[in-house]
Amino acid sequence: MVYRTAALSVARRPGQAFLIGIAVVAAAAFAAASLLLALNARDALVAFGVTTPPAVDAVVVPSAELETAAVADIAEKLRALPGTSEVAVQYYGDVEVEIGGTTSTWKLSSDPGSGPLSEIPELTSGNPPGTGEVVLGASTADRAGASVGDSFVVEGRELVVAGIGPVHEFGQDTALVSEEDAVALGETMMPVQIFVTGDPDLDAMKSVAGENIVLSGEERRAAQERTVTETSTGVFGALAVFVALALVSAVVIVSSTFRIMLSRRATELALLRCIGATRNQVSRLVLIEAACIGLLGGIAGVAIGLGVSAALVAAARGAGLLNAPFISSPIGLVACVALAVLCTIVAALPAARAAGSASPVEALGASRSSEARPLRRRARSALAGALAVAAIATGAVGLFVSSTDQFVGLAFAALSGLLVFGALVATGPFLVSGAAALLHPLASRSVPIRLALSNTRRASRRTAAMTTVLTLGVGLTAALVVGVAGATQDAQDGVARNFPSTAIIPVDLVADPEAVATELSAHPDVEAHIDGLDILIDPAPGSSDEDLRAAVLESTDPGTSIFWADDVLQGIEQMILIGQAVGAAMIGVTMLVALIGVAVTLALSVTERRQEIALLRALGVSRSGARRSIAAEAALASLVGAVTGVAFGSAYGVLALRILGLSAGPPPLAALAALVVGVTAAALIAAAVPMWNAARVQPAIGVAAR
Amino acid sequence: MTRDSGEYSGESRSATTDPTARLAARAIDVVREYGSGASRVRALDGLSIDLFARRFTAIMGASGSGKSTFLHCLAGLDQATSGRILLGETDLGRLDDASLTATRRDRIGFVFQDGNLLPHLTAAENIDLGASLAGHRPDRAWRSELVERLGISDRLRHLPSQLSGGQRQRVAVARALLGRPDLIVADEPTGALDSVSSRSLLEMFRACVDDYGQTVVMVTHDPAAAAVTDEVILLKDGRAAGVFRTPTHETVLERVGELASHAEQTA
Repeated sequence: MVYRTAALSVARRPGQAFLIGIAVVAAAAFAAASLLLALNARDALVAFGVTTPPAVDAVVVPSAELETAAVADIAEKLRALPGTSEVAVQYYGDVEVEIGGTTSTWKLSSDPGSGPLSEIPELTSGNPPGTGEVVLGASTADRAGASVGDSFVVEGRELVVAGIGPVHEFGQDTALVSEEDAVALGETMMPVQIFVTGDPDLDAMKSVAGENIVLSGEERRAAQERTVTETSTGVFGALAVFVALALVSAVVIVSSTFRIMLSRRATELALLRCIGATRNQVSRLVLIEAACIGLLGGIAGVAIGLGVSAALVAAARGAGLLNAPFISSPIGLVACVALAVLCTIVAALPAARAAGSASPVEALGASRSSEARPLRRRARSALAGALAVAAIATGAVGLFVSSTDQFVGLAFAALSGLLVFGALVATGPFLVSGAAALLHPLASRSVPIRLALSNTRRASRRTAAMTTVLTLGVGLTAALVVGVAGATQDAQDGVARNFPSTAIIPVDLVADPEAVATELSAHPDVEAHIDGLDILIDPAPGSSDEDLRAAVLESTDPGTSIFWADDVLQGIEQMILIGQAVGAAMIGVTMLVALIGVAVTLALSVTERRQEIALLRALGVSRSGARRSIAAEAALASLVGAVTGVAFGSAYGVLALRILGLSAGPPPLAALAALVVGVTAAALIAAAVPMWNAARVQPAIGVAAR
Repeated sequence: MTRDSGEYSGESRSATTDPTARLAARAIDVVREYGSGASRVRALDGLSIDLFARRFTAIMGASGSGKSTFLHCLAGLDQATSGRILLGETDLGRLDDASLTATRRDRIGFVFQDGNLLPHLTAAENIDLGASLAGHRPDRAWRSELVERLGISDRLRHLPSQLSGGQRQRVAVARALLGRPDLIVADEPTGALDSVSSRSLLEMFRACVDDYGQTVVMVTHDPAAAAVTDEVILLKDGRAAGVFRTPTHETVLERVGELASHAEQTA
């Protein structure tokens, strides 16, 4: 019965379930999308990183010093071994390709283009590459505008496009050539592995291969997959942290929403107690209702996550980043739904307990204003104090261990941040009422704003729920902003330190450094000299950087490694930018949940206070006054959240930089100020619907009897 | 005692025992205090009342006289600070929360001012709620007799929001009666009703007592409602200030008036 009543409560009040569940939907969607994208990305990376075809039974990995001829020699000997049926050498190299009048760098590897030793199962069009022929990756062919029969020049040799196929490109220009052409291309193509099929004896192979590594095909593929998986584990871990943060935010929001909803339904729950429902039955009713909402929200969220990730994978396929079709993970998605249910139940626990322990008479007589229950000030303060002390201690430990292990140091810093968040959750109501009290003198002129402030103080717990989640989002963003600013500054300093000149050539990368330096200095636009381990290159007085680049290219052999300070810095900055974009996207979900929290909480506030708003309207508060009052509440909550978040986030950003051994540099004040303004603006937008509803309340219901 | 249930014994379900001798509930020297220190309020101040089985009793008194507090204590919703409340042989003060809950579920039926139905359950689901909470099936035959009698058989699939105030109250009465409780308590049941619905609801309570042998206790401030009962108990400052049988509209007005003027004189 309890189950049925709970299910009906959800089914017959969809609006209420929606308000409670919307934050869960967002978090579940994020979890599902992260999971599926990570799985697809890992599969793509594995496909890209596992270069040994499944049919290969044994592999010889030649050491890097071995000459091409020696490798070919080993391959010949392997061919002669009993039990081997096919042997192929895979060559690999980055080559300059001239096509349609432009030059670009392509990734070239040798591949039969068909059969068991090929990386591609089937060509899209044309034939496998013969001598003097090449097979292009589908996206490469698109970009180059090449089709079967076209020809282009690779390192001075003309090759004809024999076919186009699903080569693993991963955004690079990629082509397959025959083994003969790979050998003919000379030193640019390196022999990377020798494939053997059949039933070769590994020991016999080892005796032939000498110093070189011999592995079974299975071992080789497993090792390659491990390498890829290991690099992606870190990414998964980071993703999981952000998913967890979004879920925690959702729990805080849902918990607050539940409390408001249940206090509005106090009479209903009291009635249940009157007619003989036990405390447990009432609590269970609330928890089952939560489970229903979590289930619906989880399913909706997972559906959205599935749609978004499928769309993103389709886009990646369109852009040539992926070949494989979209893969889903039914078990993973079910787990996401289960997680949503669990989180909603956890969020509902305090409300369920309160609902069960309320005495029926109190509830029957309770006025409709909820949240009037006094705060347990002492308990909250003690908890917050303990958490703050623990946070400081953990932060200090993080700083201390960072000298030995930066990763452990960062983990401690993150834990410390989590503890601070806990302390903020505990002290949130005091912070909010404190801020409201602080602002009170400023608002003496405006009735709506004064009302907003007193409402905030009256329902400080509710406002605090909005504020704490905003604090979390803003704090993470601020930490990111400060961290990025520090990392950028550090990169600039590093480049300035390591690059005393505009460009350098490390002496060990050229055969005759003296000759190279002399040759460069001979050019009128160039000043070059050897200093320690590097040839330092600067523009001659009166020459521009562009002149220098042209002059250096002219005066050095093609293929000489030249490191330009600007290029290196640009490269690092681009990496930081990508990191920043990814971080912002991850934090964005927490921010979204926080804004949902603002919208839902204010919407509930307005419904609960309809009578009061109507009375105020009847007494002469204007429509825009009613709107302003709600806006002021949203602004106050977001300001407190944003300012606290910026303060703590910046502190943790600096802590993280310290742990990583980076200098913090000047604080990015403009960006942080923009963050506070932006968040407040976003909160006001989130408050738009509640503001509109407040303005629509009819004054007449304020003076009518209930 | 013209409307004493003895007259109706032919129609009553449990007319075999002598109804006048049996007490349905007793309050013995009940004190209920709220708050502490300077803000202490004594809502019931040594109240003693006998409530007889198979009677329709009205509790009347000015606001603050303690009528609602008494009803809550009687129904096991609130605990007396001192004194005893007996429901049949059971001392409610000695019960823990779980037993008190079970007592409410199995032995007491409630009707409140505004129906107090669960808004997301249909009329039928609301009627069955108590039985479902207790985990047993409602008595089908008794249930259909009730809804037929109360005239709500065509409203069973409606949500409370789709019912009129009078219909909601009748659903609440059906819910209260379904478990055949020892005692039905009604707190201002006609407070939110128009005069026609009001009269019809009171007739329903009358029938509960006369035809089904139930015991009904109703708190009201409406003399017209009190005039339908068998007995009126007047409360003043948390104590019983008078009991009279077979009330009429006039006698009720008179007695309540006396009580008020007496209060003015002493004040």
